[in-house]
Amino acid sequence: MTTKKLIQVAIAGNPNIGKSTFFNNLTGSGQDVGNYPGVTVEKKEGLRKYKNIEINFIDLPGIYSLSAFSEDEVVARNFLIENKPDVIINVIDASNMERNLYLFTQITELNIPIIVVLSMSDILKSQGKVVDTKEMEAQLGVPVFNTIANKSTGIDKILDCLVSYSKNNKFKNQTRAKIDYGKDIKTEINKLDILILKSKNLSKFPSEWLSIKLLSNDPLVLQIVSKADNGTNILKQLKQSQVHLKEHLKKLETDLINIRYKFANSIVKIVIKKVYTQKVDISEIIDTFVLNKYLSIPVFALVVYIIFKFTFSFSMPFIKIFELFFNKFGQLIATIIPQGPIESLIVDGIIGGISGVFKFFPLILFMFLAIAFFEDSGYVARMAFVMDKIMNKFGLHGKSFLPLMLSTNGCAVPGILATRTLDSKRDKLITMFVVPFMVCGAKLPVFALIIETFFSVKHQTGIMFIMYLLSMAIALGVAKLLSKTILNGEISHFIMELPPYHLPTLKRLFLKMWERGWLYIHKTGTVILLTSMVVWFVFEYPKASVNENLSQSEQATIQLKHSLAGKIGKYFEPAFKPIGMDGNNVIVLLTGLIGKELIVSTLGTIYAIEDNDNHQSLKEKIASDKNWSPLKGITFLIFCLIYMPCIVSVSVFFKETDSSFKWLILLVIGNTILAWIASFIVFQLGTFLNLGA
Amino acid sequence: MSFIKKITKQIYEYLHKHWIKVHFQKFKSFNKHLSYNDTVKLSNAVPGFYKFSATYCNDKFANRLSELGFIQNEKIIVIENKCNKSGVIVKVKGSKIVLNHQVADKILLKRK
Repeated sequence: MTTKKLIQVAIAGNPNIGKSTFFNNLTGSGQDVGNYPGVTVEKKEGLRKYKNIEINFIDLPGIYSLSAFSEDEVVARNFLIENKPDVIINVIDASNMERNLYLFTQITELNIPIIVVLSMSDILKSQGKVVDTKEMEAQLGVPVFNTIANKSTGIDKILDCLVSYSKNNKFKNQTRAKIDYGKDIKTEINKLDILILKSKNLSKFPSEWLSIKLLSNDPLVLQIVSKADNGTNILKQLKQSQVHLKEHLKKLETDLINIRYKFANSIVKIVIKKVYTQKVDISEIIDTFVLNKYLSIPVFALVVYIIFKFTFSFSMPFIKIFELFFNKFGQLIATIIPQGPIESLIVDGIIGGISGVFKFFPLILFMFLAIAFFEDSGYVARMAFVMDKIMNKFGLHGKSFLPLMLSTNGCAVPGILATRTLDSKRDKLITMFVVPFMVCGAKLPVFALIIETFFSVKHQTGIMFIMYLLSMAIALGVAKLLSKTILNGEISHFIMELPPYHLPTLKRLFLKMWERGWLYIHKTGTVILLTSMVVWFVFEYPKASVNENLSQSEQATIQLKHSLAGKIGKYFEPAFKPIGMDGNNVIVLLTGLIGKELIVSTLGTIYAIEDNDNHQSLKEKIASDKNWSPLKGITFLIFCLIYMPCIVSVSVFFKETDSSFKWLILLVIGNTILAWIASFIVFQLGTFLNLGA
Repeated sequence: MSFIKKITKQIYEYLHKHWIKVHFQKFKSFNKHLSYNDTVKLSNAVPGFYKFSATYCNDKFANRLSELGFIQNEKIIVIENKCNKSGVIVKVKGSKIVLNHQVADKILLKRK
């Protein structure tokens, strides 16, 4: 039996050039998903077996350089330097080659074999230009392949190259192009090189790259070198080198960048051939309207409205079908299994809990589809720019809009992780605090259920839209409060590259919708089954004594009071009474701490236990409950919107704040107190004015 | 009394050396650039063709700008200024880059 060889291949490149799509094409769709385009902040891995060789692909966050300006760049850089992959696939946007080759000039100094993959060749072609790949190979000294991001063209050739190179050990002898820094700089690099090679601690780093980074005054590299065994000697030499070079050069850091760009420019001039004159650039025409002084905000509002209209209009029939299916399924199971605790557990506990959440699955899928369309088209990046001025007024950075967007209808976890794209710690912290206020995919079913229960069909979309606006207003208000108090400071600079517009392919959109939908099911499904059973148990046990003179609903009320949940609810009830919540609502809100989607499933379980009439939907059961009113519904939603985020979000928040207990306490307690105050005002004011009671 | 005078003098000298002098020197050279007729701040530039001249910001951010293509004599096309009353949209090295007013205020361009 032949042993399989494992090659580790890192995929690096600039942001928004279709790296993740290329990664999916290489590894096969449905691999490890969870990152979002333009905001890939954590590396992801995928294994591919090809011709008896196992290839482990690692997709790194998009970076412009290895200078570690923001946290996502640090993730990519640290991986390349510390893990030393066998090969780096440098994805280069053919339509924007000079800037992309700038990264190549830095990667080539890492002393790791490289394969260059050209993406967006179709866009370059539409500009009337083509790339001479043979010439490019000769100039760079590395294999060059042409691909189109949305299609899997050329993937086999790349895999063949990886296999044949690894089998024949060709990578070791790869003679990559070297940047000519000039005599003066080269002499100083060599001097530093000799000292670095003598150090045992620095032996794992590529010495040439380390020397250049030292000359560029890279803070992280300076930190590493200062801790090395002969660090003082190296730093002494560095000072001498910098003094010497300053006599000849104006500004060393900028000069090094200039030299790299000169190299990139010379390659572009050689390898890009003009075939015919450029056609009209569609991106320019669209941007004339979308980023226009007067039209940018109305276009933004229109896009948000289209996302809502599309989601709610198309998902409603499917929600009704799902609801009907779960009702009939519950009835069917009830007829098959004899009455008793097992029947109650399956019908009331499991089916009651799961159906509550999963009937809203179409709503989430359609929302994902609509957002994926605008993400893939390139508009979401423009949204950040359009929102910058407004965000600034509330102490947030323009880029903060992207984490908020990911959290809206998605999940707060990728939203919190996406704050890594922000350059300053202050901006990152404020954004992390406000991300959980958005209406995430887990809160969406709660909102849909309550709004559907208490408001007519005509007003449902409008009320939902108001709730979204309210979540945004709370997030912005809290951001303003934080920026004026404990996180006072200046907002960092806003600078961002806008990707050209693309027409998204249907395959990509549906794949993305399904991937994110599956992530939602996976996250929800793992906890929902167990929690539904636990919720059923705490509501069913201990059993109250049966009194045959009482009606079924009276018996259920006694059981509820006697149960474990009833006792827990009663314990917390006094604190929640001023905001109109009873013991049952307290239990519902407590389970919501595990995951907000569990709020609906717990409501489903409670009402299935309370009322054995399975012909009624959960909506109808809540509507007929005297303890509920439209005012209480709205108060409940406001509390759900603001109070402590779910455990997963809290743990990610804790990790991202460098395990700071101070910020953790502020998030957990601060949000809950804020939720209570807001709910109290709404409920008491509503009661006083006799609104919706 | 003489001790307080000595301390005050030292504080003044320190501030002058490390902040005021440096600040004004930078500001002076910045204004010197503006005195040429062919130089304009990016924040004031009307749409058209320019060449990158200099930046007036800290080293870290200046390096980031250079990495994005804002290098000496590089062709810059100003597409839209004061879009959404704040930002500037430019084309550098074939890609479209947006900057807010605070950043644009620190970039000097030469008219082509």
